[in-house]
Amino acid sequence: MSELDRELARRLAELRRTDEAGAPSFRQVLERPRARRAASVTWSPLRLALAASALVFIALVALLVHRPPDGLSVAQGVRSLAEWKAPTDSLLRTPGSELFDSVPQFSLAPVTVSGESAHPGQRKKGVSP
Amino acid sequence: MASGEIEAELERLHGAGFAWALACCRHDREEASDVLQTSYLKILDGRAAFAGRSSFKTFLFGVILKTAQEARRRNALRSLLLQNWSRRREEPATSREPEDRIALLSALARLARRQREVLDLVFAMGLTVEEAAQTLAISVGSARVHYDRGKKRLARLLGSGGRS
Repeated sequence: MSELDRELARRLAELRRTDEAGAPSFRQVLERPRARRAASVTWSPLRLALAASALVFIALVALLVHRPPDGLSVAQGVRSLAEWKAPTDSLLRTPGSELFDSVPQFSLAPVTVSGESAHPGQRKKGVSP
Repeated sequence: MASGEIEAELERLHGAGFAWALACCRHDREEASDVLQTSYLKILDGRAAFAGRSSFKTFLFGVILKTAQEARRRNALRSLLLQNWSRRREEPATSREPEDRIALLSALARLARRQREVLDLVFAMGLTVEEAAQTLAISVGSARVHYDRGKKRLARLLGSGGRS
């Protein structure tokens, strides 16, 4: 043990001996009355008002946080969300977009290109079958 | 341990227990007596059971420390809401107290809580650092760090008259 340790041990042990010497007896501690020390307790009106205000504030915040928007119930809110249409939906309708909604139909009639018939068997110009 | 044996052990360690309760309660005698009584009742009615994993002294000191911490929390909440400063007020040093005792108490009050507790347990209560770690429910390594730093700081404070 260093000199410092010895000095600290001596002083703290002395402190403990003094505390022990002034201790009430074991029986006195075990059997002391357990009544609350209420005589020195007083309610300050200001502190009471502050505590009440804090409780009211907390209750208001809780109500605001959990209130459904625009007075709607939760179920009503879900339905209105499903029916909602974006205001810019019209910008998505581009010219010719109706082509994507149907399957094109091909005609069996011959297609005439520059006076020639594209019918099979009529390969030469002006030659008819 | 039988109930009679437990009571006999408590009575045997009563002086040391009171000194430790005082250290845990910032030397408020009334609070220390309340804490010590509550600790005794907890042990005697089985709410705090000695399992034999440490010495009975270490176990008792641990119960006293925990009870003092609970009392401090209750008092802090109560004094926050109520105009009751008598429990929180430090017992003023009177001119009847020896000066070196006042200086030592003042220096101890300036240490970090864990450092003060480890030094009290090791130097004043005669526990080893390992037993102090068990009482405080911290690791032995942490207890050694608190012990070393607490010792150096306490020596500095006592050397400078508690001013630094």
